[in-house]
Amino acid sequence: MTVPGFLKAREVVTIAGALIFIVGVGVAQPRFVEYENLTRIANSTVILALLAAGAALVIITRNIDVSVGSTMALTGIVGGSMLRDGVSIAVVVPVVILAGAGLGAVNGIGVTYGRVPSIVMTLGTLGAYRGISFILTSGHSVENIPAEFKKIAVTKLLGMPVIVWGASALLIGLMLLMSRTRAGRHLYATGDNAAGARLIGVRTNGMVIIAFSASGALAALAALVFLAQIGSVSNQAGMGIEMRAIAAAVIGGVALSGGVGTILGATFGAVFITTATSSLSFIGIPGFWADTVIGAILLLALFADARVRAGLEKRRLSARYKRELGGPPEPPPGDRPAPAALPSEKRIAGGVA
Amino acid sequence: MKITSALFASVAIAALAFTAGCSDSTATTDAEGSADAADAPRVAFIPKLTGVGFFESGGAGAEAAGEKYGLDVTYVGSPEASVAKQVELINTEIQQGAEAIIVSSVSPDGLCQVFKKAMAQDILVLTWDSDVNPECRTYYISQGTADQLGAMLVEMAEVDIAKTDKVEVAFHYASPTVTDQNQWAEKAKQIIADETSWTVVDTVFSENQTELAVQQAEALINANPDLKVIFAPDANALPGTAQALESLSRTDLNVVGFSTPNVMRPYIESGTIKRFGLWDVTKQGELAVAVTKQLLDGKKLNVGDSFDVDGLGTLEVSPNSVQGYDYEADGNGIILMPERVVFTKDNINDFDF
Repeated sequence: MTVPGFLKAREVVTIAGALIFIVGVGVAQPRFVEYENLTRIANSTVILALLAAGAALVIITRNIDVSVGSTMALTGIVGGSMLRDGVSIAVVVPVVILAGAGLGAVNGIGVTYGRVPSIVMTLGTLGAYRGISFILTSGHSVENIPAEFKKIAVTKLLGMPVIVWGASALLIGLMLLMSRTRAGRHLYATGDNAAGARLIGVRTNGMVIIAFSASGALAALAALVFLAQIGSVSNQAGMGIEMRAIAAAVIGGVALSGGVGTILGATFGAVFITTATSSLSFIGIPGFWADTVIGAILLLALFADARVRAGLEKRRLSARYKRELGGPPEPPPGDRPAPAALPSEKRIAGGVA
Repeated sequence: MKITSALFASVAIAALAFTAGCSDSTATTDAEGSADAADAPRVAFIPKLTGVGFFESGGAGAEAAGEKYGLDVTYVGSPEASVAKQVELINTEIQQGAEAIIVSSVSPDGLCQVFKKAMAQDILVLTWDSDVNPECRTYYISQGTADQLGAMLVEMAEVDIAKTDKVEVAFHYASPTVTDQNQWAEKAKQIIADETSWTVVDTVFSENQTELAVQQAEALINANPDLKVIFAPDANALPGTAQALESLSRTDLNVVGFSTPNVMRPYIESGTIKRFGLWDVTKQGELAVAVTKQLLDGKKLNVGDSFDVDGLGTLEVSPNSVQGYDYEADGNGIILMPERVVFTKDNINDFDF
């Protein structure tokens, strides 16, 4: 009765949930699962997935970033104005991403060296960044993004927009960075136990600033996608999207208490939210009900997720007790703890080592 | 600690400055209710929210008319469309000695209390674009009745789709709580049911979010392959729907609705949509200020009275019943914009808002 390794990952529940949901709607309305519609959903997910990945990075360090909607609007307005005024794409893209990273770094520095709680700091910049975009545009939206930039959004490879491929590659790279590198482990350590992480030499302040900068840079990338897909950007752009990004991360198994979660989970959290939103037209739910139904679907997902996790944890524990306390069916050779050691002690010992 | 509090304070100040009132730049006249001829009477012109081309243009029209008529017109608003923000702004204006307040209300009854307080201090209260209950204001400067605008939606679609065709149509606008859009849509649906063979298959909402507008429209179109017309009577839903047509490369769908010419110009020029409507919001701002001027000069306007406005011709005061209200009183009524505009390839370049 051991649990297969891959099921131990928290995000598996989300991925399975998203797939079951897609199949479920597909059974009710086959048009929903046509390749063309699935690529459309993937295309619609990109902005939210980028923001959710940024939210995950910050939440893993035990902070929160509610300013990404405004960061996206401000960087989008800066990038959009430059594109409109004829600055070349090769210049605009790096400038916008750097601007986003800079705006994120302001949050990170405020939270670490300024010692402002992240919710307060980013609430401040949420207002301030949107205010700056108002000042820059004197309230008007930025229109007439050149066609050569909008063309990026309609360019396809194997029937899938290149933006989806690009975003997938980026997110996979980020996943590898988080799971395979020292920096990734330091990020988790910072959120799990900042004091402990400092003791073993992790520069926790630096990690927090990096996480916020990455969140800002991802918001700027989302802004570029927004410009390409939509072709204009108003001062209202991205208002409230930070809450959806945080919801996506949490649905994807990123714990608000820090130290736990993956980019993969957050990405599928975003897939889940976008799928739920765009399924309503297919299953014939009237628009008046949209918010209520989406809220209910999300709550249901979180509830099911919590139940499944509790069940998995119980099975994992009982398997462990069986191994360590009950008569072992097949004791792993050389791995037996000292007879008096309780499981919890072993865990603590293992944690310090 | 010093750094903390200093940073905190600066963030808080920045947030307040940017979110609360990023527009109060005009020097205020200290009228205190007894302004003499030397001081131009202060008039506040308030939009639902700032940062939207539509309202900014209305504000520009109002301020220009202020100069023409010798009134100190200030366009003040909040980037967030909320009753609380509007109440706050109106209270500030009352304290600053405004003699008239002209508001596009976000709620039919949420502003009544503060308006009654203003009227009790002999401040002139008018509404424009979006009304409040008639007993809470004097006159409403209306872009047209629900009957006129609902019928206009159907008329724009009729140019290409005969009333006798059995086709599927759908609606897409901001939210079911927006009074005016809801009224237009309901009226249009009634006309469709009574006079055509069209079937309304769905109504979707996009909550003023540009990226949601594109996504909702794409889902709507994919879910209903036989859809022929989408009505989008919302300045955000219409460009979103047009963008969805472009991303899905659909040319067999008619999209009509209400939005501003600058936002829609690329879609008209590319032929994605053929026509859309609106009223000249700059003139609506001018008209509101012109009426205010006449009232401040002591002119009495009652239902049925007609008066001249430079540049707009002769206008008449209509009873509140044209908008479906039961309340009628002296010095209370609705002033309708004389005409609405259908924008096409041929005339769109005559407008800049």
